[in-house]
Order: sequence, then C-alpha cells, then structure tokens
Amino acid sequence: MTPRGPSGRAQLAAVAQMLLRATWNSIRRRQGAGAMVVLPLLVTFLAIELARFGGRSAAGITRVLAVVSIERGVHYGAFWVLVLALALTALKFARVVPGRGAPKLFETVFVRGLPLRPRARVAGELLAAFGASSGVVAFVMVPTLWGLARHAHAPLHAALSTGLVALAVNLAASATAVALWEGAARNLAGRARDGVRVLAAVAGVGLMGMFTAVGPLGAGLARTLRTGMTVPGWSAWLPTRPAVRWMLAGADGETALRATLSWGVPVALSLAVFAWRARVPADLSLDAPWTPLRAPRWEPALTAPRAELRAMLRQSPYLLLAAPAFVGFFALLAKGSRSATGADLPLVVLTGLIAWAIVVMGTALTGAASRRWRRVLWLLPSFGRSHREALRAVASANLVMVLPLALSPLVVLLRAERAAWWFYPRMMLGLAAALAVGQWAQAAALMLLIDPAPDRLTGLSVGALFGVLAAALPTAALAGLLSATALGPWSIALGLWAALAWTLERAATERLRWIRDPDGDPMADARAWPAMRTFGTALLAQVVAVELCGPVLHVSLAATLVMAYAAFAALVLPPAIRRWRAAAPEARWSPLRAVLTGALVGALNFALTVAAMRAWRSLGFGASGPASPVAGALSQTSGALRIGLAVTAALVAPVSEELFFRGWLQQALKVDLGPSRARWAWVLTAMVFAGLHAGEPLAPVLLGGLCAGALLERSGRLAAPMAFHLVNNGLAVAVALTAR
Amino acid sequence: MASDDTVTVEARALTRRFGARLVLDRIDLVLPRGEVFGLLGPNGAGKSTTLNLLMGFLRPTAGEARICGLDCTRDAQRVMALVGHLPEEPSLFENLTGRELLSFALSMRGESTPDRWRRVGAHVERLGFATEFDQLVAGYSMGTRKKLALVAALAHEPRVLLLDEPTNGLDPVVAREVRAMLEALAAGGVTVLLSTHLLDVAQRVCHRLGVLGGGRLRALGTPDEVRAQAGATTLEEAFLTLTGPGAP
Repeated sequence: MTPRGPSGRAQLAAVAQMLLRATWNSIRRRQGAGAMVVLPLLVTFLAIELARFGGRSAAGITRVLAVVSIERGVHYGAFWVLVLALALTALKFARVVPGRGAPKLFETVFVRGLPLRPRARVAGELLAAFGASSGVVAFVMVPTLWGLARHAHAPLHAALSTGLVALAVNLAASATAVALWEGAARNLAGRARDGVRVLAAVAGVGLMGMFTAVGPLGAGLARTLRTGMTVPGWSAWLPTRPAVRWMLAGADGETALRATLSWGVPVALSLAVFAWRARVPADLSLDAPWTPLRAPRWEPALTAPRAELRAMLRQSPYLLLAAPAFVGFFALLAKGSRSATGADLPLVVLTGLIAWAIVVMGTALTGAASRRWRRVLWLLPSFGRSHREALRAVASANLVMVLPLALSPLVVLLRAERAAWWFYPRMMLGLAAALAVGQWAQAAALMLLIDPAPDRLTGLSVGALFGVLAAALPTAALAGLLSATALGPWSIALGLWAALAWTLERAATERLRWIRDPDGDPMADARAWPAMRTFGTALLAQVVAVELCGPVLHVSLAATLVMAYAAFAALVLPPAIRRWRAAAPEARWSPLRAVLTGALVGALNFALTVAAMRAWRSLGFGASGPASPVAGALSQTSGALRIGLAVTAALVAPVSEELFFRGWLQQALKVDLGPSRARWAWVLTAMVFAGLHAGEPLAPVLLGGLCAGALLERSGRLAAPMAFHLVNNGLAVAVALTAR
Repeated sequence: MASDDTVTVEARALTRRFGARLVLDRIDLVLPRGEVFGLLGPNGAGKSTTLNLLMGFLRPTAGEARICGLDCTRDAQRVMALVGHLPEEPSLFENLTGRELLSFALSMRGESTPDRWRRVGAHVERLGFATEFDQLVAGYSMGTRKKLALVAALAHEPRVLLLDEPTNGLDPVVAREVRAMLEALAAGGVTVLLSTHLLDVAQRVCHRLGVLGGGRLRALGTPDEVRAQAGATTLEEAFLTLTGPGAP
C-alpha cells in the first residue's frame, strides 16, 4: 500500500514555518513593512487618547458617564462587532481581503497538488487567514472598538476588551471563511460558486462600509446620548439605535421596520443590480477549475474615456450602490435638519445626486475602470507594477470608500450644529480633505511597496508617515466628535488637514518621480516645491489655527505640528542632506568652534528676546499670554502629545529647519541670485523663515533667522546655525514646560 | 481491476460537465508503466480538465479515474503522493525563494532528505536556473517558474508525471533538456502523461497519442497510427482533420 506521508502535525508545522518565512521575506521586500511601522504608531495614538482621558478632562468624562446607561453602549458595541465580523467573513470568503502573501498560499495549484492532510490544510488556512486579516483588524477595527469600549469602561479595561474582541472577531471570521472555502474547494462546480462569491464580496464591502461609515457616526450619537443632548427624531431612521434595540432588546415592529427599510432598500436594490451586472464573464475558462477560487474577473478592458464611463457604470456596481445610498443619506439629513433650518428636501436630494455625479465623473476621469478595478474593493489595493495604474486605482478606491468616512463625522456635526445651508459646501470640503488624506496615504503606501530602494531610509520614513496618518485619521475623527460642539473650529481644522494632506500627497507624488529617476537631482527646483508647500502649510496651519480657533484646538494643533514635522523630516531631509553633502560651502571654522559659537549666540538671542518682549509688554503693547503658539500648545496639552510637541519644537524643528532654510534654501538662493547678489541670500532666507513663523512675534524670529544665516556664512558649517537654533528653542521649550 | 502493476493511469468513461457544457465525454484511457502519453487537442478541448480530474482537483461527473489502482477522487491525497504535477500556468507562492518552496513541498511529502536534495540540485543545474534558485519566486520569469514547477514535480521521484504543456515558454535548449529528461524517466519506469498542442513535441517524445476534440477522444495510438486513423500524411494534417470544423 502506498504510504500516507508525514503526519498532519508535521505538515502543519511546515505550513507555519513557511508562513513565517514568507512573512519575513515580504518584510525584507518591504511589502508588509507598512504594518510594522503602523502598529507601533497606532499604539502611540491610543496611548495619547488614554492620556487625554486620564488627564484633566476626566471630570468631564465622569459627568458624561453618569448620564447614560452602560447597557446602551454595550448593545451598541455588540451590534457593531457583529457587523464587522460578518463583513470580515464575507470579504475573506470572497478572498478580497488584502494579503499579498499568506492567503494566496492555498490558492496556488502548486500547493493544491501536494498531499496535504485535510486537517493540516484547514489549520494552515486558518493560520494564514488569521494572519492576513490582522492588519485589517488593527487598522479598521481597533480605533472604532476603542471608541466604543470607552463608553463603558475605564481605559485599561477598554484596551483589554478592545484587544480581546478584535482577536475573537478575527478568529471567528477566519474560521467561518475557511469553512466556506473548504466547502467550495470540495465542490468545485464552477459558475454557481462564482456568483456566491461575488455576492459575498458585495455584502462584505457593504457591511465594511457600514462599519467604517456608520460606526463613527453611531459612536458620535452615543456620545450625544451620554452628554444628554437632544437627539432629533430623524436619528431613529439610522440603523444604529433602532437596529440595536430590535436585535438585542426586542423593539416594537414599527421601529424595526423603519430601520430595516432605511438601509435595507438601497442596499438590496444595489445588491440586485450588482448580482445582475456581475455575472460570471462569458470568457471564463472552463478548463481552469481554479477560477472560482480567484477574485472574480469583472474588470473590463477599456480604451476611450466615454466608453470607460459607460462601461464603468455598467460594470462597477459600487457606483450604482452609491447612488441610492447618497440620495437616501441626504434625504435623512433633510429630514433631520428641516425643522431646525428650513432646508428644502428637493434641494438636499439634488445635492445628493450631485455628490454622486461628482464621484462617478471623478472616478471615470481618474481611469478607475482600469484593469485594476477589482482592487477598488479594498482600500489598500495590492498594487501592480505600473505606478500610474496603481495611483489611478488608489484614486478610484478613495472616491468610493473614503466618502462615507468623510461624511459620517460631519453628519454628527450637522446634528450638533443644526446646520444651515453652508453645511453643504463645508461637507464638500470635508470630502476633499478625506480624499486627499486617503490618496496621499495610499500613494505613500504604494511607494513603500514598490520603492526599488535607492535609499531605504526615505522609503521607510514615507511608510511611517503613511502610518501616522492612517492611524491619526480615525483617532482624530473620534477626538473631533468628542470635542466638536461647534462647527467652526472643527471645520477649520479639517481644512488645515486638507491642505496639509494635499501638499503631502503632492510631495509623495514627487517622491514617485525620484524613485523613477533616482539619478536625478531630488532637490531640483520643481521638485523642491512640494516639500516647501508641505512645510509652509504646516507652519501656516499653526498660525491660522491659533488665530482663528483659540485654545480649543491646541490638541489638534499640536498633533498637526508633530505630524507636519515628521512629514518634513521624512520627505525633505534625506534629499536636503544629500544636497548639502554634495554642494556644501568651504568650512572655515572647526566643528567645535562652530557648535560653541552657535550655542552661545542662541542663548544670547533667547535672553535678548525674553528681555525685549518683557520690556515691550511693560510699555503696554502686545497681549499677555503665551510667547508663541507652540508655548501655548505646550501649556494646554498633556501626556504623550505634550512630550511629542516638546521634542518636535526643541529637537526636530531646529535640525530640520536649519537643513531646509540654511542648508538648502540659502545655498540655492545664492546660486539663483548670481555672484553679485549672493550676499542677499541670507537676508532673503531669514525673511522667508520669519514669514513662515508668522504666528510668532516677528522681530525676534527675523533676528534669529539673520543670526543663523550669518553664522552659516561665517563658519561654513551647518553645525553653527543648528546649535544656535537648538539652544534657542530648547530654552524656550524648557521655560514653557516649567512655567506650567 | 487495476491491481495489474503494469497499468498506472486508467480512465473509464471519464465524463465532466461544467454547467450545461460537456467538456469530457466518456474518455477511456489505459497507460502502462513507463509510457509517455501525449494528449493533443485544440484550446478548450479538455486536456487540462483531464489532468485535473486525474489529480483529484475536480470530481468526475461520471466514470472514474485511477492512478496506481487508487481512485483519484476518493484517494486524492494518496494519489498526490505518487504523482508529480506540472500545472499549465504554475501559480507558485511568490514570497518564497525557489529553494524554500521546494523545501516546503518536500516537507509536505515527508521527503526532505539529503538524497532528494541532491537530485533537486542536479535538476536545477540541468535546467539552468541555479542562480535564481535562491531568489524570490516573485521575480521569476515565466520560463523560470515553469522550470521550478517542473523540479517540484520531479523532486519526490513520482511514479506518474502529469504535465500540462511542459515545454511551453521554455527556450529551445531547455525544452530539449526537458524532453531528454522525460525520455530518461520513462525508461526508468515513470509513466508520463503530458498535454500539449505542440505537435512536434508530441511526435518526438510520446510513445502514444490521444487526440481530444469536442470532449471525445477522436484518435488513440502511436503517432503513425493516429496519422493512419485520420487518413493523413503528417501529424499536423491528422490533427486538423480530427479536430477541425468538419471533424467526426
């Protein structure tokens, strides 16, 4: 008799070993490195949230907790956990959950031809599936779960329950999906299975969208409940509260019906359209039994834009799915706001249709219906080799997937604000912000994935940036929901985010060019602009935020600053350093002399500034208060964010600003101005430097810039202005910290 | 019963439908030990489906397939242990190197022994991809993937080889090597069932041929017999006659 080969346990061990090896290989290829960067950042942001809750605002939270029953929060959480578990299961079954490695393993004909024992195979699939979706769970689930858990639990307890629930959901979804795969694998029937998988994919995407879109919205509503604010009647139409009651507490029939209809009808219609359109393609090769196990192939081959648009509308059911959802959504808004603002229902429905048309046209224009179309199914597509194509896919993914993310917090704000007509333009601004952030983040991820590594540091730092934003976005949304009782500051913050994100996105796109042309000069003028915009936007952001929003936004301001400098450090510093090394002026001083002189001048400058400002105020000019926005933010923040801000202001900013202004700008201006006017370069640089610090007192900053420029000209070493800036800022931060 | 040791691959009235479409219609095949058998047919004739039924990937709609006396559906796992399989488009796991992938395959079969690795090394040398062997599969060309999949199919010294278009995508020198390897394996008692639409491969390597068309086995025999059955002077002519629009 033929041997049965090794035991199932030995086979499973081999599978596990191979998965680990593949993971390691993918990290080495820097495919999965994004997650390695993102997870610590996510933890950091959660820690910041913890610190915020644990700090001074605890009294407010306690007051809030006293108002509402825990039960409601628990029901609410349970409902969303259920939704997410279903979504994950459906997506996994349809194999559209991302994962460039592990889940593909058992799809390969190669592995199917190996004599795996059924148990080893199932356990291996489970292992692979669990690993593959852990990133998704961390990205999508943890922030929302955390927000929910905080309704009912103390921070530690909330963190624990968030972790346990995430683990359990991932495990349950993986197990269900594997069971379904196995069922499919054992009965490879062809067409019928494809249909089931397509439906599963749609249901999964719909549920996931619901989770990401309505989850934060519901969290906001729950917050509202807790704060005892009035909940308008229209919120009964949202699937959250009535559905929770209905599913878990036995609500009356009418409420359940309304909840079901409000979401069920558009989703069912869309599903029907999808099922009709997404029939298995006629050219499905019947000789290839694996086709049912691959992602469905519904991407059309397209050429002309008009044909693209037509085919997209035909072939891309998500857009059709979006239409009724949009209209329904805006109708809900109208229903909610009519009594308060007199908003006109037809107008609002029209707005919904226009928003939908924007999505469709935008998607068509960005060539969304490229061959990568199916990757739109997931926010983080697995990219092909063509950058352009990948960016298009990213853009289209954003258009469809990020919209609900952008809409939901705004709806809560609308509710809180009893919005007037200008809510709608603001909402468009919010959409733009979310799109830009998403697009940038994914372009950065893309670069992380495909960077052929002319320099690893930059690739990784861009990945880190992506991580910062990916983690910050949901956290910021929740934080915004928490504090936004007035629309003004929040929408301004959103605008700042949009501008920042846009510039970052541009910078990231430029970085793509560097990757394509690694021998080119990365700081050539045209390419330096995105970096300058990034930096300038960040600096202007702080000014505008403080001028317009007052102390409310200090936390957002601090976070924005920290992230802006991180972005700056990642995008601009590596090429700036290279540039400085390649074209540094002749050194005249020894390094020690440069550092000591710089430090001494820095200390003098600081002392002089303080003395001058005191004198100025004693004469009755200027307001009393913090010496600068950063000082203000330092006194208003606490915990990890405060530390981050202090480190940014005292260490990151001096080094990066000097590299940028003195190391690059001043040198570049000298070349541009020509030999006869080169001496004005340091003055111009100082003026730009001061201009970008416009929120701070002008004279000291201008003087500081002149000092730094002069130090560089005298010494020929960048160390001198850096030491100057470090000492000056270090003293300022120290004073601000101790003054608290 | 196929307990006869000389029969290694056997199909009896093997039938497979995909929905309404009948892809294989009562195919009968008996392959003795050490034979190189070529399945010919135009695209979509059912060649790969036949191999997939023999591998147990697909369940026959009717009839049965056996390898070394084992039912290919019920005993799929044991069949896989005896068979080396080369899929037409080798979909490999991309995040492993060639060596790691082979190590995994051999561990799965419980055959990761020094002796096997020596053989693997020899195959790798012979097929000329020693430099790529320790690189990630993701970077492999189509031809190199094929070579790796071929080595994986041969590594455990299978008794039966099921090869789907084995020389497609290989350069002529390597294709010649592969043909020589197949002849040597057959001489050593390995049964080889290969599907191809390259007629010269079929003519040079195969002892017998089966021509599939419209789900039926339209001709069966040595290349000369197939020509005679079609009343043609060349194999190409015979192929066109048997599978063309006016085919029986």
